[in-house]
Formats: sequence, C-alpha cells, structure tokens
Amino acid sequence: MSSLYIHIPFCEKKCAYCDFVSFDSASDRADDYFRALEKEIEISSGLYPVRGVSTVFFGGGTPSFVDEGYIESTLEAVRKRIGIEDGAEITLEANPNSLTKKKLEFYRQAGINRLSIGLQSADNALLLRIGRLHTAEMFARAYHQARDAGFRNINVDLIYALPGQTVKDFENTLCYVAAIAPDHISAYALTLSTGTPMHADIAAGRLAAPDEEEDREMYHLAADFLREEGYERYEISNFAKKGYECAHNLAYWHRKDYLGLGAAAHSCVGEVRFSNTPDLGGYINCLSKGKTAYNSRESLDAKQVETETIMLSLRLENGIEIKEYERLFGRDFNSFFAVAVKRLKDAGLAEVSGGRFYATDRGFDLQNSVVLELLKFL
Amino acid sequence: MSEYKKYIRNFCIIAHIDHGKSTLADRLIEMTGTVSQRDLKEQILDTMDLERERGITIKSQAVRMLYVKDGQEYIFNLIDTPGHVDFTYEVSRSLAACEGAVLVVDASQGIEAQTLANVYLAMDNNLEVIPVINKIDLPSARPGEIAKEIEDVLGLEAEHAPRISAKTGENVKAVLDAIADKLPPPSGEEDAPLSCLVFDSTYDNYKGAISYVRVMQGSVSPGDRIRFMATKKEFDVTEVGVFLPQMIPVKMLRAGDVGYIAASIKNVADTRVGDTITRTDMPAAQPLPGYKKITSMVFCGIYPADGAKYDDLKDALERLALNDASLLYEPEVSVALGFGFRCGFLGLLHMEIIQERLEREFDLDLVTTAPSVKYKVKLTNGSAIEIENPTNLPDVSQIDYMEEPIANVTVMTPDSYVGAVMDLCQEKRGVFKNMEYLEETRVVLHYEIPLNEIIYDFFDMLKSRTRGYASMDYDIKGYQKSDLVKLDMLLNSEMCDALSIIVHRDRAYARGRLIAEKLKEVIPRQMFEVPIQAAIGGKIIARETVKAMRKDVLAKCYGGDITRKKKLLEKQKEGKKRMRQVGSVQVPSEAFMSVLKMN
Repeated sequence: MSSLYIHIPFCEKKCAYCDFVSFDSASDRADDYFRALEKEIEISSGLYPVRGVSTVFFGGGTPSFVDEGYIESTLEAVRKRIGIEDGAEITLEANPNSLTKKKLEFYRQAGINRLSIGLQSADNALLLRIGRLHTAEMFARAYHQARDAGFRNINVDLIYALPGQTVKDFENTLCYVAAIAPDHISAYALTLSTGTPMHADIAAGRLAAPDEEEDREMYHLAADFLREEGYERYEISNFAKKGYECAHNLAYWHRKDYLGLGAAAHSCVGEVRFSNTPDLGGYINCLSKGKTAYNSRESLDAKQVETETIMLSLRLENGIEIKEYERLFGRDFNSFFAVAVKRLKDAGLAEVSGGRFYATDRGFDLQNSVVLELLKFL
Repeated sequence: MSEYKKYIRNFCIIAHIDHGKSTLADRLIEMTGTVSQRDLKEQILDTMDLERERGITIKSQAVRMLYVKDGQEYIFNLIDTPGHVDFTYEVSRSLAACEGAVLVVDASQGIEAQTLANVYLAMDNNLEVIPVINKIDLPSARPGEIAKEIEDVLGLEAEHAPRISAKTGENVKAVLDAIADKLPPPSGEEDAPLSCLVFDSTYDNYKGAISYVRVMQGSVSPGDRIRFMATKKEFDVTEVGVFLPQMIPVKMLRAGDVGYIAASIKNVADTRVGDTITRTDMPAAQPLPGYKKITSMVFCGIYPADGAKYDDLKDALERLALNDASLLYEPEVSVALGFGFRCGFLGLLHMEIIQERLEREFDLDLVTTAPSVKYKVKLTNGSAIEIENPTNLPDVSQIDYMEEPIANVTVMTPDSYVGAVMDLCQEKRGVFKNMEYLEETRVVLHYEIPLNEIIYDFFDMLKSRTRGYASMDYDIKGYQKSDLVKLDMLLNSEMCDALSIIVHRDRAYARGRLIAEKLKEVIPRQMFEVPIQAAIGGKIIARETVKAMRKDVLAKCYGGDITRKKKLLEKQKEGKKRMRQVGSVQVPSEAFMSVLKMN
C-alpha cells in the first residue's frame, strides 16, 4: 500500500462552488464520525495487507475546522493499525480562518509535515463573492504562523476563472503567492457543478464566469509566470519547487494502490476501485455495527487499467513512460498508436522524446481530446 | 351472368389524406360483422405500426364482407389503397381491380389535390364513383356546399350523396346500401382463360411471396400451374383464398373474386404489382393492360451509423424488400461514410417510411445522405449515362449536357394564398402552366417543377406558407435539359463525397452558402481549426470556419476519485462513435442530413 486518504466531511461553511461531500451543520456528529473512522482503520487493517504507508492525506471538507485532537487520535490509530513509513509525507488541508498558532504547533507535534492551505484568490472582494470566510491578510498570517511552527512543505490552493475575475486579477493573485513563496502551488480552473449555488447564479445570469478564452489565458499565464518563479509544472494543475512535488497526488496519477477512509472516500487496491457511502449518517451507522460502508465497487479489467493509465499519465508533464507502458501492456506503443500519435503531433498537441509521450501546453488545454485519440485504438 | 357473380361488389375507398378513409373502412367492417367486436381496433386494415401512427396506408389490403340487403346476401370486397402520391401506380392497379369507388370528401375541407387525382384515376379505370360526404358531425361541416362543389368540380351527382359521420357511424348504412345498389357487379367469364390482376403482394415465411389478385377471367385452384405474363415466371399454386381480412383458404377463385394466390414464390419481385397471372394449361392471349415496371424516383445513400452494423443493415433491407418490390437497393461505398447502400424509392414519403422502419423495426442507427433524383448525362463522346449518386458525376469536361426529371405539380389552395404558392413555385424553378378557380375562393394551380426541387422541402414549405391549407399532387412529366452543376463540400480542404449534391447553376451559390452555414452549426469544435468550403468544379464559392476547440480538460480529480473523469471520457467516447471521420475532421451523423433541412 502506498497511500492513505482520510476524508473529513466538515466545514464551517460550504463555499458557493463546492460539490465535495461536506456538511456545514453537522459538527455535533464529529465524535461519532471519528469513532467510526477509527473503526474503519481497524477493519481495513484486517482486510488489506497494509503495513506502512508512504503518504497520508487529510482532505475534506476542512480538516483544520475540527478539533485538532481528532486528527491526532486518527493519526495515532493509523500508526498503530496500519503503520506509517519513516519520512512519509503527511498532509493536512486547511482554511486560513480555522488555523491558529496553537493548532499549527499541535499538528506539527502530531506528525503532520505538509500543509495545504486554501487561498483561492488574493482578492478580498472576490473571496467574499465566492463564499470564503477569510481574507488575504488572514491567509498571510496563517501562512507565516505555519512557517514559524516549523512547516517546511506548504501548498497553496488557487482557483481561477472565478465569476467576475479578470486575467489581471488573477495575475495579482499569482504575484501575491509568488512573493509569499510556498513550496507547492495548485491552480485549478473553477469547475462548475450543477447543484451548487454558484452554478445556479451563473445559470440565472446573476454572475458571469470568464469565457474559455480568458480561462485559457489565465492558465497559460499561471504556467509561464510560475515557471519563471521557479515552480515546475508536474501535473496539469500542480506546480512545485524541485523536490516538493506532492507524493500523495503522484500516487493517484501513477495508479499506485491507495486506501480511502471516511465518508465518500475512494480507494484503489489491487486493480479494484471502491468507495464509501457519501452519506454521513449511513457511514457512521455501518461502522458502529462493525461493518464497512462501501457503496461502489469496480473490478478493473486489463483494458480499463490501460485506459486509466493513459488518462492519468497524460495529466503529468512527464506523460507516458513508453518503456514502462510497453512492459505493463505488452504492446509497442509507437507502432500501436502510430496513427493517433501522428495526428496529435501534427495538431501540436503531443510530443515524443526522451522515451516519453507527453502533452504539449496546448495538449494540456485539450487533455480529454488527446486521451480519446489514443483510446480510440484500444 | 352467374347468380354468384351478380351479388359481388368490388370497390375501393378513395380520399384525400385525413378525410376519413380508414375510419369509414373500419365502420363498414364493423357494421357487416366481418370482424368480431373483440378484435375491432382502429385502422383495422393498416397492419403496420407505422401506418397506425401516421394515420396513413402504405400497403394495399383487402377484406371480404357479407352484407344482407332486402333478404339478399352480397359479397363486398373492399380494397384499401395507399392514399399518397408516391403510390399512385399501386393505387391505379388497386382501382383497376374494382368496379366502383367510394369517394370520401371531408364536409368542411372539401375537395383537395389528392381527391382530384384519385377521382381522375378512378375515372380512367372506368369505375362507378359514389361520393360520400364525411365528418358531418363537425361544427364546421358544410355538406350542402361540398355537395355542390363535388358536382361542379368533379361532375358527379352528389345531391343524394350519403352524408355521414364515419366516426360516430351516423348514416353509414346508406353507404352500404349505395354500394349494393349503385355499383355494378363484376363481368368476366369463369370458363374463359385465367387472367388475374396482381394489385399487391406480401411475404409470408411459410408460404413465400403471396400475390393479392383480382380474378378478371377464368378460375384458379391449388395445383394449377400459373405464369406471370410480364416476368414470364411459372409456379404451381399451393393455396388460394380470400381476406376476412386475415387470409382464409378456399377451394377456388373465380372471375369476379378478390383474393390471394400462394405458389411457393421465393421472391416478391417475381409477383409484381400490375402483372397478369394466367394458367399455363389455358393461357390468356393478352395480359391485362396497364402494367408498368416500377421506377424509382428518389434516391439516397443509407449507411449504418456504426460501420460495424453493415451486415445488419443489409439483412434489414433484404427483409423489407421481401414485402416491398418497389424498394431498390444496391451496395455503394462512400469515402466519408464507408459501406452502405444506394436506395431507390417511389417518392419522398416512401423514403421516409423505409428509413423509419429500418430504425424502428430493426433497431438500426442510420446516416442518410441528401435525396437525389436520377439525372441523364450526355457525354461529349456521344454516350449517355444515368446518375443517381452525385458523387458519380463525371468531370465537367466530359459532359455535353444534362437532363433532369420534371414533375407536373398540382397545388390546390384557398385563393388568399395564391401569391405565396406562386412565390414558392417560382423559387423552386417552377414554370407556371395555368390556374383555375374550383369555387369562388379555391384555386388550383398547375406548375412544372424540377423534381429535385420538390424532393427537398417543397411540401413542408407549401404547408407552412399556406398555414396547412394547400394540398399538392405531382406526377412525372419527363426529362428536360438543364444547366446543372455538382456542388461539393470540403472539410479542412478535403472533399466529403457524402455531402455532394447536384443543383441548378443559379441555385448553387445560395445552396452552397446555406450548407456551409449549417455545417458550421453542427460540426463541433475540433483540435484544430476546420475550414468548411463549398465548391463547384474546384472553384470555392462559400466558406465558413469552425474555430479550434479552446479547452477540453478537467482541472481536478480530487481525493483519488477518478470516476467523474472516467464518466466524462466515456461520454465523449460514445459521442465520438456517432461521428464520421472525414479526412481529419470528425463529423456528426446529423451533418449529412442537415443538408436537407434548409431554411
């Protein structure tokens, strides 16, 4: 087992664009939830040959919102039942408004060594508009406190193509972040999901999102600007200083085994993908009875494994390692995909060099099309 | 005359579409007790789902009914005919099998284009016509005026015409009585050499192709050896029978009867509508008049949306053709669409019906190309060829001149729409012939219009420009020299053969622009910019551009949950399956049909 994901489905307030599984009025269930989580850790350690993971990731929701004692005891349970390798990357997601000096020091003590702080934008008016509870100043304070507490690996999350955001606005945010100099930056295009308040506002014309042209302009700006600032893009939306790539996320892209714990958490173990119920009560209920709370299970056949490999590898700057690919799937990549490779190269979307097949900048804009072009031949 | 024959009445019902032909047939069947109450359903003679749904008759059907009047039992043979212009020839053969016709006219609509066409056909076949005014239950009914119109326009006595409601059954008995009293019995001698008129056929898995016949002279029984006089094919009769309306075997069919003959005929093409069946032991000297080999008027390419389904399409066409001798098909290959068939139809409705049946009864996804007519091409080397597929048109340098089919078109309209109809006919390159007033406010217009203009959207446009009030009918006049060109469409500089059409030179520019605009709407953005060009003989006459796709990527796969991304990819992959690769461009199936739907 490579990695462990632990979902904390609680927030102080849900953001207007968020469609992740999280509840902003259920913190009274935290006790029950973390008890269930410990139960799941115990059961899972019996179900899977898990002896020592190399990454742990607390995601959410807002893991920093709940009492830090829960995080510590959960991590303890993991150490005891599953084991964490020396030097493992242990990340916790945090919102600036829920971080305090005390909490940060506590996390550090508990063994968390990487923080992922959601800034999203340095524009306070925009932050307010999208339903965030912090300002850029609050972020800065939390960030410096984290550094003071000894965090040597910090990611800052950004979202671009937000309603009302201009390319210039985003450039300001990028400058702001670069000046603060975190070790890792994630910049995600806003994904508008149906059912979210923001989606409704945009559908009704109350808000206007930037068009695709502006969206791409912001993306290319981020890629160029961050490169100059010493951040290498290693995945479509992820930029890091050398050596600070997120090992946990790379485990997903490299299709390593990972176990997801908590409501709505997804796992992939031994070419079987499965996930827990997103229903908080249902999850707690199942585990209080000593049963797992899986609600989906998909056993992948060879073709699906290959499909996933193409789709996930091509999100990475390195793309597909051709030798490795041929070893895994027993086909000559360049001849098997000759037509697709030529078409993609001709269209300026992909390149082959150094034993790798990878998407160009423009290829990243059309990553789905690039993947589909290859999948046609499977 | 034998006693038997004296009480037979062979008749059909003719009407404009929606005037109540099938409803009247239902009532007659019901009131004569031919079908038990339990089995009664609407449009009982229309056996195909499609016929029921669209309220049209596609195949001819026959039913034998018994009617007792004044203590005398009559045999009524009703032959239900298709009512649409596409099937004029079938209608004419069905009429030829009868002595009389019941003409149904809607009490509020009055005479329409097909009323006129069908009455003329009936008169050509020397039928006694009984006018019936239907739908008198409607508030808008004006039976008195309509009776006068029938007298004035058709010259039929209509003062005493039964005024009925086929829907409610009101006064339908008067129709039955009129059939018994006014229609003549069949002539013909039982002892004469056999001559049977084939008015339709069907295919039965056990009995083979079955001929629907009217025995004009002589008699036929199982065991007889018969010959089809046009196709010269011979068979041994295995079964003869009548329609109740299901097929019931009888010992013998005699002069005057309407029934069916089964003779282990493998192929419906061997029992052609209009052919004459005779007995080899005592053959008729002459075939019955009026046989015509069916000619297809409208053609289009039909391809499976999924190329792997070619064999399924082939099987389906074979199955449909078993029952429909007028459906022609032969394999063709398109660069854009792969393997498919060039199909020939009697007309537009026939084409639509076949496409719909292929999709519904055989669950096929089709891509069809724009309909075309058959062009005659005179080459500079003196030879002549016929072209049904625009792709096959030789290079301009080899063409001396071309000819296209011209239709005589009759449009009937309230006079307030005369201007609109004339404009339309003009736009469609129509040549005005004449105009007559049927009554004070109704006009019939005669035009000659090239068939290739009619097959696109003429009928729909006529309906929309006259708010549905105008009706039309057409028949083919012949071929005429015309200045035609081939209009090609280029996608990313590569020609897409399936989009080529033949048009009049004056129309080419407008049509080319319209198609380019339409294609721009339906072709999705691709990985690169796609120019769409319309060209005549290498000269570009219109251009549109589909801009390159800007963004097609998911920003995030959170927490190892890649299901959303996989689902999106699956969806996109499914979408791509419905696309055709034309050179480097992905073209959705609808694009090929969108070319038809102009305006």
